[in-house]
Amino acid sequence: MEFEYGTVKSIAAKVITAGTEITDYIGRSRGVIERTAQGNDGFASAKALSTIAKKLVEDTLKAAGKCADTGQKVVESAENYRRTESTVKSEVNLAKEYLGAVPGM
Amino acid sequence: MVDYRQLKDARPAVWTEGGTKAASIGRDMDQYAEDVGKYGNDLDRAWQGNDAVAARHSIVEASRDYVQAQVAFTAMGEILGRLAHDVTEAQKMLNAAEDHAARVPAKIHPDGSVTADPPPEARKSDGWMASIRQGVEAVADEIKRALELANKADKDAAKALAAITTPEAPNVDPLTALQTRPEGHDGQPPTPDEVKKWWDGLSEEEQESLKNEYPGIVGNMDGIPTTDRDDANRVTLDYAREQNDRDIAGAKAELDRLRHEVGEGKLDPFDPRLDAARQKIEDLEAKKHGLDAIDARLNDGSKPQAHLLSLDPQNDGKAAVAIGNPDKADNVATYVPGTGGGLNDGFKTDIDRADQMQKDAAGRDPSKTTASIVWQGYDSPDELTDATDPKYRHQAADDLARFQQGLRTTNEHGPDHSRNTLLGHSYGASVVGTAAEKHDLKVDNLVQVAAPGSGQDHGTTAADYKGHPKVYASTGNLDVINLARGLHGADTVSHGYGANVFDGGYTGHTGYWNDDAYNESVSKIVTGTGGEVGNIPPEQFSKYRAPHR
Repeated sequence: MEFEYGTVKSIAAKVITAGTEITDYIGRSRGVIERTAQGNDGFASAKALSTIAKKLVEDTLKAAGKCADTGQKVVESAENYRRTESTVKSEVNLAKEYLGAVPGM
Repeated sequence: MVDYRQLKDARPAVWTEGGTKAASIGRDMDQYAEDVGKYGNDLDRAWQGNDAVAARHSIVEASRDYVQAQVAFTAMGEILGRLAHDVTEAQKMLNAAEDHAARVPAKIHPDGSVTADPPPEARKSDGWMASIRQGVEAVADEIKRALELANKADKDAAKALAAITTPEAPNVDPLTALQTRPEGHDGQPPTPDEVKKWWDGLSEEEQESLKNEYPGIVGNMDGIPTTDRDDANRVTLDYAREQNDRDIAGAKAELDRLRHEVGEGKLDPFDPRLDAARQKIEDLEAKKHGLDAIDARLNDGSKPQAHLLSLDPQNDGKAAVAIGNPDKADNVATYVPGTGGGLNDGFKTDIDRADQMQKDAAGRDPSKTTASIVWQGYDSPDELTDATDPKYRHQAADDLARFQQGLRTTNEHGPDHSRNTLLGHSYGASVVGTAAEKHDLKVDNLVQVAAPGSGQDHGTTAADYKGHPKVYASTGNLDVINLARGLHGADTVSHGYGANVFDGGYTGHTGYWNDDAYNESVSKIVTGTGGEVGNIPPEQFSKYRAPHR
């Protein structure tokens, strides 16, 4: 079964970066976005903006956090996989050694 | 409701600023969504099995969240832009009303009501007072209209903002959307009209996710708008370039391995596998140059914006690159290359030719927008020796027809708006003829340059094509194709064929785009003044007659 540990880790790192970069970016931009709801009394759209601007910023930050978490989980999953694979290989090797030691095998 | 005072005090600049920022975030999220989706696909190559499937699924979901954020921020940007524009206009109307009031003279009260403010001497004149009363009514009406505009803009914006979906909502599954696409008829793909109807019925999230996750399908569907196809095909282009680089590395490694075996005496130095490996590297390098040429043109900011209308990197490769946006254009010219076409070293030249055609036509009629396209959407003969085979043009006919019909379907001004010209060069000239004999291509002009024949299997004249386009033909005096004219159907510059023949100059087979007179003629045809072109009288046909006839 195909498993390139280095490539998988590199992909996961990129996914993590895509999460952290968005977190920083939205964090820097949220002031301008949320200001759209300020002032402009009497406008129904100002009220709608105060709801959507905040929610959109918050939900995008959540999505970015989830993206970074996903990358982290891929790293962990890949490491678990490698450990398991390594354990299986060791057991197979041990078994081979054992079988090799058995006369007639 | 926005009242007079609130409209006067409104600060649309915060919406302009916020809208610009939201639109910018939308564009950036588009790139992130595409990148993250690509990481999911990259994982496929590096890791297989159940754990990998789960990991890939999580990454794809992250990409879809970003698509939702992209769509939401983009919508917010558009809504705020419109709101700021309309409220600014309404404020201008208020200012004009205030200027008007000063001239009447009238007084505008803080609640927006208007009363006469006549000078003492006016009270003595019935006529003057009547004029002031009329002025008061006019000012009140102007204020009313300004408030109506502002309130409509406000109401529309509030409604549209409330409809925005944030990334917290469940993600759409583009596969479900893909499965609803039209199926086509009699083994043929669906018509561009059917595709357009399906595409327009999808949500923006579905469209964006489809472009990221199924770019190879979406990018090549005639009937999907140019900018969407371009988005999808740029994703495919990135994949194709990376895959081709890996294939080159693999092919080089294989050649090294074979050479090593030769060095060790395990392989005959004349083993055919060595030549095959070398040829494979050469072909892949040529494809790399073709893909790089597309990428370079798409990112060349010094020329009109190019769009990638189709891309299939398999085998010799197929692609269509538009210079300008055909969906917005008044004139649309499509160039079909001939023998040796494909994603290879020569594709840059084909793109340059499309650039030349666009530049000439735009220069000739700057009042109209012109888009040109190089359509290498068929498997063309690799060598001149293959060019006697009609199978290539027959295989191309249906795809070219659907592509041309799709240009009509997606033109934003309506299907009958643009002047469409289809120009084939060399074997491509026979391809356009074969397609036009079989289908109504919905083109105004058909131009056959350096044709080894009209491409007709049944008809013999330019009047036999479906849809009855105006037919033009040209052949250079030094072109070797003169030895093969009439190979595939009628001789296009013969008197009997009946095309409007124009001078191809003293050019060889590949020199047409370097000839000023030829370029001028093509630009006239493309911009609708083809009547000024050619009309070479029959007595002069001798110089265009095939030497063997």
